[in-house]
Amino acid sequence: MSHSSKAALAFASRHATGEIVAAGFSPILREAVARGASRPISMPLCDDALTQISFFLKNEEFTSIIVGENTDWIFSGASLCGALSSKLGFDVKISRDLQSIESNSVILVLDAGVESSNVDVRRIARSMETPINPEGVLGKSTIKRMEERKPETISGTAEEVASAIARRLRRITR
Amino acid sequence: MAIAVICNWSGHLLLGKAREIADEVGERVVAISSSNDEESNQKLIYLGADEVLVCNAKNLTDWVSVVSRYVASESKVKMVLFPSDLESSIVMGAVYGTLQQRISPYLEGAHVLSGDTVSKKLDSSSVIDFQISPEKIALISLERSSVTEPFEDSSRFGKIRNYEVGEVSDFVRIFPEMIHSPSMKLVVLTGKDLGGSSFELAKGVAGRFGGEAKPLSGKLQVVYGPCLAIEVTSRLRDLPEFKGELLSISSREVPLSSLAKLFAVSPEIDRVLQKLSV
Repeated sequence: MSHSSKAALAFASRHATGEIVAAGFSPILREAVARGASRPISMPLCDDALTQISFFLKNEEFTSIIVGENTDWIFSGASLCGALSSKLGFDVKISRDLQSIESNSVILVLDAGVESSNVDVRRIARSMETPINPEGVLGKSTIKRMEERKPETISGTAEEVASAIARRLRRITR
Repeated sequence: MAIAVICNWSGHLLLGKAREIADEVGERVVAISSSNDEESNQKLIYLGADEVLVCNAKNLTDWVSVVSRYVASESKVKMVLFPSDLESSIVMGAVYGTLQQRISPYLEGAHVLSGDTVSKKLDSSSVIDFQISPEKIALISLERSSVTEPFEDSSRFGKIRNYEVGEVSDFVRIFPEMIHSPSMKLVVLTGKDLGGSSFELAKGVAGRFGGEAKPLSGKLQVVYGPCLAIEVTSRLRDLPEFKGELLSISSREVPLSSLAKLFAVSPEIDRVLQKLSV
């Protein structure tokens, strides 16, 4: 399970007063239950944000939807929030601004990458007993292997090293 | 046909890339900006735009209306480019959710863009490709670090006009005006053996580049944004996961150097940090 999904589940467990439904790709759902989800919804992994949300909006209604940042897939959590908002008419809110979970909102949980809460060991047995349907991967895109690149190495005087690093930092932080 | 560039959130840096593609295939570049400053809008023309549309977007909700209207009403648009960040992603998602039939492909955080394909690195060893559809409008956010800075040429001509949104959508409402996610800031990560005075210098470097200095500890599990690692000598299994671009400076070769995109060796770490912080 990605770190930002763990952060989203931790936010849900801290603030939710009702049922927490974990929607995701089947391999992560046992961990989701062990981390506090009341029940899982197994979905295929999709390469399109709208196809992805169609799977968990199919037979369910939610009072609010909590999404992790998940920046490293084809679409991010932030994008999913925008798409959900346009489909459901829910407001988009940010976890940092909230003390509780508000109804009719899509909440993006920001993730600073720091230690997340642990799996609740008391929930492991329940997680193992929960039936989870395995689902496939859906999409039209092609994933290719990339040529492995060796790191660029620089050495020289302190001034030369600082200048090369500063140039690169300006480029990646602008 | 036109290539539109959303110029807020440092999106003006994408104008050079847009100009390059437009020149290859004979298209126009349209910059969309919410700035009322004439000088900065004129600069967008100098940076490569043929036309600047000045809209009245004050927040992310307004931006959803502006982009939705543009995508829905303009028939001769090939692609709309956003700078890759959280604000853009929310707006893009909301526009896609409203106008799915007109949009293809939809890709965030792309690293490579040409007139007919767009790609994104998923991790260090795999990349995903999409074809740009000739019939639909591509909605793409580009990593700013993956494009070269646009060239400013004050002899370029173009026009600037107002772009009225009219009724603002009340269906999609986005509450934060700006998000400033901590996850996308530069992290200056310092190794366990780095002394207190060196850490102060590292803080200076972080301050100069709008980031934060953090000593390496087990608490930090993922670094999403760019990272400068200073004298981080730990074994790979003791390091956090690096999702963004990683640069490293150390006094000798360290295990981390195999992960870094740029690895610098210098016996004078403090002096390098002093130079970097001013």
